[in-house]
Amino acid sequence: MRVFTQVLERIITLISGGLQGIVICLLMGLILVEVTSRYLLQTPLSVAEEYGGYMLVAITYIGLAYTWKHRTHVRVTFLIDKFPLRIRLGIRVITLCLALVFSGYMCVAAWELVQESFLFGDRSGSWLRTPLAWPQMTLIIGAAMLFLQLSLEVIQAITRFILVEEEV
Amino acid sequence: MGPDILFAVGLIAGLLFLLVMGLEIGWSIGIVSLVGLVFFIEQPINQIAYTSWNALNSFTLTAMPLFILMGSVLGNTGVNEKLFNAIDKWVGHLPGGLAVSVIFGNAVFGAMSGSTIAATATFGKIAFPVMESRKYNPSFSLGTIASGTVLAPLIPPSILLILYGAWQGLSIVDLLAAGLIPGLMLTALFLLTITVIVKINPDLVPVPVKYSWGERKKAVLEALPFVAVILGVLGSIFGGIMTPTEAAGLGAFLSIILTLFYRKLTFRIFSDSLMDTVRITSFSLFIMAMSTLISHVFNSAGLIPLLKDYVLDLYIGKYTILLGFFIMYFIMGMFFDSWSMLFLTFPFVMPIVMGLGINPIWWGVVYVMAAEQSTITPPFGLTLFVLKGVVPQYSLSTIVKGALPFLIPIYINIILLILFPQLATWLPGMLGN
Repeated sequence: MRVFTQVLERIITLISGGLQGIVICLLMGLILVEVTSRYLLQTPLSVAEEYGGYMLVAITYIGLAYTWKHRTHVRVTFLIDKFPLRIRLGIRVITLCLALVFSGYMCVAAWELVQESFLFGDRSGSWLRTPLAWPQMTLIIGAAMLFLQLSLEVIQAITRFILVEEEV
Repeated sequence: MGPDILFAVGLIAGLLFLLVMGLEIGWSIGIVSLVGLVFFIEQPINQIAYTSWNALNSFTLTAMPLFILMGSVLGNTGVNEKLFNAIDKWVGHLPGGLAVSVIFGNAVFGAMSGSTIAATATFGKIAFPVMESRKYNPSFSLGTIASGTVLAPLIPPSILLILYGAWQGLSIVDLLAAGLIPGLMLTALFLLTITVIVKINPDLVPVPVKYSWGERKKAVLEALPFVAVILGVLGSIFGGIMTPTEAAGLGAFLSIILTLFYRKLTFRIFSDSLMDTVRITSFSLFIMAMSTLISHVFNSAGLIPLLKDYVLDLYIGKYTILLGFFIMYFIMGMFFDSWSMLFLTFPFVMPIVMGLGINPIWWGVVYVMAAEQSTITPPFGLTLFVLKGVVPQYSLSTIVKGALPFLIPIYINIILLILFPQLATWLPGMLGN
């Protein structure tokens, strides 16, 4: 179980963290190419406007799991910090379960959106005519990674809660 | 009270309950939106993905991660320290000494990071140890550092204003330009406050150190290339040469090249900067996407227009409503940062602001001031807590005592902005966007 957890965490760090770092570099490169083609070569490619947006969706959604892992998502803790540890951990199990259920809905929602885009053959309005289902898949990947990360968090929270219960 | 309004009140109460229970803000908004989507406006759940896609698929917003990357690279490689030293050598001899350098440093650092939390942490780490070793009064030093960070989201490029503009479909160039004069005015007001405090109580600071011209020139030469990047980025935006996104991309690239050239950038620092960027982008834009979703739910149910009409029909006047907003942000600032407050409240606040005929560019700058002052207002201001985390050896009351006098220039700046809206709207008008 421990090995499985470690492998899963490593995959999340690589895809949700490291890969999105590379996407940021690609985004910067894309903007530079656009700047060069527009201002120096006088022949704008008009690619960055479209693909920059897709990259931002990817960084935001796929980055969610990594961001959660590193406790960057803002939460208000002034009240629950006042509760005894046991109650605090119990509340955390419940809130994490709610977040897990919501991320499940996010997966279903993203899946349905991509299915619809495939069904209706949705394409971008630019000259590239990109089939939208492909960049929209980043929503599915992001939601799925988040679901996995939150599953791990729920297991860890329940374990902590049980350990504290046993100590009491 | 009709069933629709009861349900809406229930949703808001549910949101507050989830927030208080410690669930992350983005998920609290998301869960409440989902309940509203399914049971209130009865729309398919794929609206979650559809709204996220539409809110995030924005070229304008891509300026945000690139500016964060630029600030992270310059910050993580110690360029901030270099800048602070250079500024100190030039202005450190003025009354208030290092306190003056902190304010000037924040004005410049604001242009690099645009984030209050980053500015607080940086100046807490860079400036405070120097001030402490030179026997500056700790309360005065920490108060200066806490309040000086209010400048970061005002002086361009402000990430908060970029988020606001991209989300609300406003001109980013106009917003960034609008923050410049109020930011410079606040810098001047802070300096005046320091002078008055030091005149009243000279024991707070030691005799300021005056550096030789040779030392000053050397410090400037060291910091000059980095300042040139910042000025180049801002110049290309305001000069209409590049879009904010293009300028941000170029700024990030030049920051990497310069720090590489000066052998400051290691692979570790670069990857840390990238990961900082991923985390800040992901957390803030996810809240933005979820706020767009809750806005969609309440709009589809006709409740936001209802709320807007209700507030406007009160006939209590524009300024009373604005005062109400200030009080709301004053209370919220005890628990939330200015980014979260923006996303939590603007789906409801913006229609009222627009209904009152308020210029959204002006409102953006006023919001930044209102939200940022609340983060240094005792007893719970968020910036105060961040600084307390950096200097755990000092009590919160020490920081609070030092920060209190600096609320006066902030309030004066807000009043001036209300009396003379041109302070924020003149420059965007001149740029002709």
